[in-house]
Amino acid sequence: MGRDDKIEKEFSEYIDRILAGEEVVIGDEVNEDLRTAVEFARKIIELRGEPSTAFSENLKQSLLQKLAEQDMRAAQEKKGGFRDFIDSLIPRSMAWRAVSTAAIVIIFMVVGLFWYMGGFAPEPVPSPAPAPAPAPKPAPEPEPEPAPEAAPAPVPAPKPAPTPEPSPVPAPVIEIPPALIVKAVPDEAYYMPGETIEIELSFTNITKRTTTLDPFPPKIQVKPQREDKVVYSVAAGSQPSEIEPDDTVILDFTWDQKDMDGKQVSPGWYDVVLGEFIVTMEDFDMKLPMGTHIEARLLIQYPQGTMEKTVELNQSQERDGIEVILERVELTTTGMTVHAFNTPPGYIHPPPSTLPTVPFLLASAEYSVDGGTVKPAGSPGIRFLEYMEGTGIRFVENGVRYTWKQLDPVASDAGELTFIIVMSYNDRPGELIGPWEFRIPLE
Amino acid sequence: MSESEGRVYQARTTGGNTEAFGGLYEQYMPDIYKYIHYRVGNIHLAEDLTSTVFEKALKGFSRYISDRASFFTWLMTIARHTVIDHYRQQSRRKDMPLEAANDISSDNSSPEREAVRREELKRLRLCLERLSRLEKEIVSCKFGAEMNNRQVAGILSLSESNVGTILYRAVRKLRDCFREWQNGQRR
Repeated sequence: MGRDDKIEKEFSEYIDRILAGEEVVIGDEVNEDLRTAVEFARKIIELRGEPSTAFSENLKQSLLQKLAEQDMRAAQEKKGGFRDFIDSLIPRSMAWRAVSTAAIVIIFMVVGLFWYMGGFAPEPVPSPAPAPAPAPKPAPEPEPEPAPEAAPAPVPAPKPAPTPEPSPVPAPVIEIPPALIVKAVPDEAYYMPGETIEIELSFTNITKRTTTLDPFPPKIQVKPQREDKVVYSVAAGSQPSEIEPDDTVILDFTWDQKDMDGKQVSPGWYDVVLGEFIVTMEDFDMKLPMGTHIEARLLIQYPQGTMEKTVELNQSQERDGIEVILERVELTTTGMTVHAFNTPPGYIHPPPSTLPTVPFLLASAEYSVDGGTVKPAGSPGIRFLEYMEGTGIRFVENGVRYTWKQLDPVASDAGELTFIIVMSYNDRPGELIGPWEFRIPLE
Repeated sequence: MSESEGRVYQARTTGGNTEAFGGLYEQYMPDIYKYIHYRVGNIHLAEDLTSTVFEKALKGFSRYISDRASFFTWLMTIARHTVIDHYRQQSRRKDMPLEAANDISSDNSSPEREAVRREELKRLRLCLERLSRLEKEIVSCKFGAEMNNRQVAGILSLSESNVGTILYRAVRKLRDCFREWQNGQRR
């Protein structure tokens, strides 16, 4: 346990003892900062407001009165239940019984049909505009990217470590039809190592029914971008939570940037992911499993600063008779973008929204800086539309352009970037070609 | 089984709802009130919101599952959401309204002492304003609801050590802010 941790623990123990009514005397041998903090805590306690006796008594009487009425109503309902209600609807005469029973069946059928056709579905609610993230620091927000139009089969990474599909950068608002909107708003655009990260997670019930979330809060995990490894996790709560129609429940999530072993995590992009929770709507026999979404993306910067430059390379490498050109590496405060290019044999620029007539190469990559941790860069999906920014494959005039976007930023004092690409033909996804290993001097 | 869980059990098994709920109210209302008072800084509002919390608790009492959370944790969850809802309805948070500093009540104080107390409370509220929302929440849970760090960690989804760290940081900030004011007064 570090010195600070010990002092913080000691402080909490003193406060608990004072709150328990104990006479706590702090000797001069105690650290000055701790001693004065405890003394000030006494002042806070002294200034507390207690409820008045009148308020306390009145509220109690009012609540007990309501409770008695509630109990009485429950007893009456028990006495005259649903069966009695149905019995009262059906007359004694046989002819009327037949008619009224048929009428009830028709009502149920109409209600059922209405339900089936979505008549009870909540009114469409427009997605709210993304909540403005506070931006006390001048870093640009990461661009939200639209999902790729068509995702090619993933190409395995060149090293034994599996390379997952690139996760599309989520929009700040995630709508979970038909019950909830979950929003996650970090308190900063980016963080320096050691800073506490605070995220406001809000769950808004957009239906006209009381909705229950179970468990609440759901499990919350922090993972490095594009990796399955969990670096920090908060267990799910133990009690469900109800949200009234059009109401919002807010949850504050904080992370001190330490992993499960208490060590500071390395700079880069991290995803905040919610674990599964069940959404149940009042009077509606339906359970919707939710969660496992990326709710927020966090950037931890390098303490020494981030490299900002564009390295024009046009470095060409040939493997298995195929030439891949690493054109350019763009380094910014929010991340790294890498552009590569290949011209498949017999390539003709396809018309918009169509694939080339000849086989072309799908790619996957990973990278490391100065021989450090190898990070997955992912497999770019096919982007037919020019306006779609971000990671993707584009069919251009003379070949295929590959872009890996929003990779982790690089430290300002980094010396060399290693970028390794493996490929496979789109019609033979299992046959790997390569690797093409590029070493890019950054100094 | 704790005393409060015993009361819940009693209400479920014997139908003695009134007595059980009355007991739970006596036990927990002061802490819930103090928590809310810290958050909103106004006696009348704290009373209104405390009433809302217990009315919600009364309504949901039959749905409370005692083996999943303690009754106090359950009440605190309702209290937190009630305060959050209040600020949302007030169109975005303005925790600790400053004009509320006059609502302090204390027993048997001399007018001079009362005046000093009011001034100190006013300053404390101003200092609380400077804390982050989470810091305010933790200070309110600790000094208002008298929760231990484990309980605070449970309802805020934090680690216990994180609560300790944030609490210590928040109290030091409050202390420094308060000192700043006291030094300014002495000059």
